[in-house]
Amino acid sequence: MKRASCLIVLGLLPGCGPYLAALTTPPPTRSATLDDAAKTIELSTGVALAFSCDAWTALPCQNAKARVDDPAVAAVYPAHLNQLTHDWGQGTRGPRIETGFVVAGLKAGKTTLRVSSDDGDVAFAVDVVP
Amino acid sequence: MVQRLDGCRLPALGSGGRLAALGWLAAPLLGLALGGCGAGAMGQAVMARDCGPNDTRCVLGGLDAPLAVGAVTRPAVTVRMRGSAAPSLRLVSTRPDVLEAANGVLIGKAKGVAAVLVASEDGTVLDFLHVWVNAPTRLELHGVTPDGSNLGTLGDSVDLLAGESLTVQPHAYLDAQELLGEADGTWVVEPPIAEVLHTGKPGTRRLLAKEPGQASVKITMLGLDVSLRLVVHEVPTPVVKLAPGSVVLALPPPLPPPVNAGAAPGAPGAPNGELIDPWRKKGEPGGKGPAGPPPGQGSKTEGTGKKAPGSGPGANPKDPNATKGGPTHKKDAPGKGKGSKTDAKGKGSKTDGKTKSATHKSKEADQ
Repeated sequence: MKRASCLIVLGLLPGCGPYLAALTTPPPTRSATLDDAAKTIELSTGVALAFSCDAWTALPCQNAKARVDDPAVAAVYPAHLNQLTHDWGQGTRGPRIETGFVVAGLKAGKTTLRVSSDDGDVAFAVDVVP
Repeated sequence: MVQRLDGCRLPALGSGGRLAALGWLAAPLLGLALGGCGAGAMGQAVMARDCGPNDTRCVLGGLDAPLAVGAVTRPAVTVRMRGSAAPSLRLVSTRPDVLEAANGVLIGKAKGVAAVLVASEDGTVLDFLHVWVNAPTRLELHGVTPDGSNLGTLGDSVDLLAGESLTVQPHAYLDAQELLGEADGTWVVEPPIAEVLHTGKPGTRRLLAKEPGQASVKITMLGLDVSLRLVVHEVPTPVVKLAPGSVVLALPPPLPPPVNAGAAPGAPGAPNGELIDPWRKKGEPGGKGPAGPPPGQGSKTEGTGKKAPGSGPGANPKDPNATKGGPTHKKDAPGKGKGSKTDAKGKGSKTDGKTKSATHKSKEADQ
C-alpha cells in the first residue's frame, strides 16, 4: 500500500525510500526476519539473511551501499543476485539486475543498518539475539 | 520483485515460465549429485563434502549434518550461476568462535551454528550456508576399501591373516546422527601384533597384521575412545590330502633353458648353460647356426611366400621407404639362420619390422 501510494504521488513524498525484502529463511530454531514496515531486522547470533533493495518504482536500488553502526554486533556485505527484475515499463525500465545485501548477526546486541542509494536512504534497527 | 530463494534449490533459470520450472525440477537431482542438501540459501552455490569418487556414502550425505567439535572438513564449493563460472572464492564464517573457516577448511570450534559465506575476493557474497557444530557422544569405526568405498560400521572384532591389512576410519556420532569432519587421534595396538600406518587422510589408518595373535586396538579421537578386537591368523600352508586309492599324476619337470646342444664344448653357444641369442650374428658369442644370405637377399618365408624382412623395401638402398626401416637396423637384417626364418614368418615379420622401425625413429628423434 505504501509503495502504491508512492507510485500515485510519483515520488513527491520524501518517505518513499528504498524497500528491503528478505530473500532467505533462517535455519531451524534460529531467527532471521526483516520487517520492512517496522524497519526492523532480528537475527540470531551467527545467522545470515539476504535481502533485496528496491526503489519505490519497483526497480532495484541504484548505487546502493549498506553499513552498520556497530560492526561488532552485525556485519553487512554486498550480495550478487544472479537474476533480473521483471520488466515494469514495457522495456523502458527493466529488467535490471537485482540489488541485494547479506547481513549477519555476529554477537548479541543492537545496532542500526543503513542503506543509502540514488533512490533514497533507509535505516533498520537490527536486534541480534543469542 | 525477487523470487524467494530457499535452501536445496537452484536459482530459477528465468524470470518465469518453463525454464524456471525446469530449474526447480532439476534441483533435487542435482542436489543429490552434488552432495545432498548442501545448497546455499540463495541457491547460487552448493557446498558438498570433499569425497573420494567411490565413497557414495560421503557423496550422497553432503554437508547434511553438524560438524563435530574439533573436527575438520574441506567443503567442495560449486557455484551455480547463469553465464558465469566461479570467480575466485573465499569462505567466511560469521562466528569464528563456533566455526572457523581458514584456507578453505572448516574447523568445528564449539557447539552452535554459523553461516559460511561464499564470497568473492572483494567481499561480495554469492551465497551462504548455515553449518551446525556439535560435540560427538561416541565413535564408530568404519572399514574402507582400497578404492575408497566406505564399508560402514565395523563390528567389534576383525580377523586378518598375517600380512593382510585393513583401512579403518573413525567416525564421530551424536546419538544416531553421524557428524561431519575428520580428526586425528591416537592408535594403540596391544600387544603390537599389527602396524598402524598413516594413509594420508587425517584419522584414517591402515592396520597391517604382522604376526598371529589377538590384540586390542584402542583409538582415541575428539576426546572419545573406541576399541576394536583384532585377531591375526597364521597364513595357512596349502596341504593336499589324498583319499586312499587316489591316483597322482606327476607333472613333467620344467624344461631346461635352451642351449646349443650341437656345438662343441667351449665353442660359442656351447652347452655351457649360456642362453642363445638368436639375433646375434654368427661368430659372436652365443651366435647360432650358419649365416644367412647377405643383406638385401633374404630368403622366402616358410609357407607364406612372403619375403623375410631383410628382403623387403627396407633392404633396398634405392627404395624410397628405406629410411623407415630395415637395412640400417641390425635386427631387420636378414641372413641370421634360424633367427631370420622365425622372424620372417608372414605378417609377424611385417609387424616386427614396423615396430623396429618405430623404435629406430624414436631413437633418431632422441638424437
